Amino acid sequence: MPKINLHRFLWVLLLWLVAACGCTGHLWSAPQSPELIQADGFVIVTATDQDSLDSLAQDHLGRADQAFRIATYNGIDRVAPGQRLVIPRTPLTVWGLRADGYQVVPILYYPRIDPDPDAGNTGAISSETLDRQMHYLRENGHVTVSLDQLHAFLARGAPLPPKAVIVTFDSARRWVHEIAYPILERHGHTAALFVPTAMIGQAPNMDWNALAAIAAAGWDIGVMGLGERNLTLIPSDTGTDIYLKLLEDEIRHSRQLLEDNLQRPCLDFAYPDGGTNDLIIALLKQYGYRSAFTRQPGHNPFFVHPFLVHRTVIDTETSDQRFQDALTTFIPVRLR
Amino acid sequence: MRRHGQIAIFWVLILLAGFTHGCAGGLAWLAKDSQDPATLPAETYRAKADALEQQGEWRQAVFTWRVVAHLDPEDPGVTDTIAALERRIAETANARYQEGVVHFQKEAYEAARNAFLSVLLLDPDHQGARHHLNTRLYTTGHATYRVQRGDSFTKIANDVYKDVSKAYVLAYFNDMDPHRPLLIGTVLVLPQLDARQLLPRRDLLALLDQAQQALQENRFGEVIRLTERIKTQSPGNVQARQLADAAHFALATALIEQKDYPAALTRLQHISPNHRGRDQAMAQAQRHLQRQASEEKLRLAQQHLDNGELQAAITLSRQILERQPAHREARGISDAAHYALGREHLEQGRENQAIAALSALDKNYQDTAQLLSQAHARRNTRAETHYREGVMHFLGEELERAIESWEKCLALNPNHPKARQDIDNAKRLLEKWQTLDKRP
Repeated sequence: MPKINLHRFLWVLLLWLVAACGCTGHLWSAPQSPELIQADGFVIVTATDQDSLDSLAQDHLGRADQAFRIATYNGIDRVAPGQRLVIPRTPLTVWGLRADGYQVVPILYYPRIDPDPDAGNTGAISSETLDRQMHYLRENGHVTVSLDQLHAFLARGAPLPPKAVIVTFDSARRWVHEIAYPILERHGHTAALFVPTAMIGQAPNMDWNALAAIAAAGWDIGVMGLGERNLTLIPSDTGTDIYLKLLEDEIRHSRQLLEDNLQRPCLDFAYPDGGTNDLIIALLKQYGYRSAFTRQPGHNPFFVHPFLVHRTVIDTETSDQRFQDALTTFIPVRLR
Repeated sequence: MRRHGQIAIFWVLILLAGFTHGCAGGLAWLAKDSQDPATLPAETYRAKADALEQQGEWRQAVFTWRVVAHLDPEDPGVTDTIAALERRIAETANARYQEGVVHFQKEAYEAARNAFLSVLLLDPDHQGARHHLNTRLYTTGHATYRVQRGDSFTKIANDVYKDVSKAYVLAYFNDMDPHRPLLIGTVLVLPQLDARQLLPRRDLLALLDQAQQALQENRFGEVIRLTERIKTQSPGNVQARQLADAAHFALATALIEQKDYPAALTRLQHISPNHRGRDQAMAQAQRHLQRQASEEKLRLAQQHLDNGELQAAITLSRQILERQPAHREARGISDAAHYALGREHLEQGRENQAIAALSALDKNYQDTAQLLSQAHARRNTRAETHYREGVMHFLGEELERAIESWEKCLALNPNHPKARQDIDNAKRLLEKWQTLDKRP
């Protein structure tokens, strides 16, 4: 057994450490994970078997619902373990614009759902039809988005999922809570509900608890005046000044009532009976609303008038083909 | 000397191990690094950037060139490419904005809109393009009016809207006091007010009276027409709703009397759910519709019975009886078909099927009891024959054939007192024989 010289041993050990350090390059400093590269404006990651588009979006963009941005840039619909992905930190598509056209948001309006189609409610579609249509949305990649997301799209051009759609109801009736809500929930959809606030709690309408439950489940709750009165109709023998006061009550007090009861801001309005005019729009703006919904069919690009947002009425007259046509999400136009 | 040599070799080996370890660590790192963006295929992203540029997605192309610059920092050309593309974006956005403004001035709004959209595609923050798209391109733009000498809100409201009461709205819309004089030269925005003045109450009452009169004189179509008119003026008018309900109900009742039940149901669906008699009438119409459907089935069932298509007759009559168990005609067809089918099976030696068909009948139906007993007796006789065959085979030591015969016996008479036990015994014996055969 050779006798080891301690002095020489220490020198050799030092030499070995230097050599090891030279070769590995990261013996002393904590290395940045080679799986994750942070750069100015983007991140490069290697997906693990735990990752999904949603989890990557949550980790790197702060919101799982932005997963479509990763999917779109990388041209994928799901991630595979070991896959290298470039994640743009800022949206590459703004205002829904592409060189070959622009995005529009279909907004569906269901006047009434009835479990019994023979019950005599004209225009009311059956719960089976609603179920089938919600299934169709899910199976065809449509994603229901919130009014906040719509507002961000209209105001700032914030990106929406390519097949974003909004489902709306204008009613305080109990069927919204008892029939429509469970169907949408089963299919993973959300919706916007506009209520005539003075009618909440009066039979056969929902009470405040039911409305609060829907709101807590993530539905948007908007205003549809106090009653269901068409605001463009002036009661006979009423002067314009009185009419103006009536409009103010319908627009201001209804919102106040809703916000007091739900304890959350309600910034969106649906015109009762779909009727509107410049005066009503001016009042809505004055009292702090951010958007209002008509019952006029049409496309909703980012430059739609936020107080004349289009909606397609879905009722018994709506054929399957018309329903599918109402779901147009992109208008092709050459923008180069 | 030799010892020193050994020590030197020892230390050289350790040193070598150290280097090797270090290098191996380095190699492992390099191997991992082959997945690192530094070694990611920059060419893939270069091609992607080129393609995006070709497609007109220049902002995305710039972004992708930046990815390329990160992946391939040694390529000095990428930075120049990015700078050139950014200049091109700025110049093109500016040129297209000018084109948009020209189109807008020529009132070519669609061309203007597309030009402004292409500006925002290149420069999403372009304020001019956004301003045009969000405010100036609405076709529902407001008209304006420049105040002249002698004008007042009342005069302008009268001139523009033919309604002096709109003066208040005009002032409100322009954020002005309606009681203060207007300054000459002030530009007023004229709101579009398509608010409809409702009919005076006395006119509504007159319409209601007319509808009431029409109802009393059984002019139901006119009632419906008048109440529809009232509804446009006074949505939710209770009296109009009640008159319309009464008219629809009368028409529906007449349709029921004419046996036009589908039309009656459609008419009843127009009536308020709480209208008196509506639910009963709907139930009545639905009952009649079901009865019509049953009668059609009954006719078909009788036709099948007459043609000797007994199974089809049974299926249809059963469908009727499921809904209406006391339906006499359906019961009659069902019994006749079962009886005929039972006889047919019995005549053709299918005792089990005959028993199944005849068992569906009341024992007192014609000679059903006798036929059933005949079928049971024949079946038992045939079963007994098979049983005896089995015994013969058993005695002849043909155990498989014996089992086969006894199984036929059991198929005919599952309650045969001996067949099952004999099959078990035969199978046990068969097993024993087979075991003995296998022994050397």
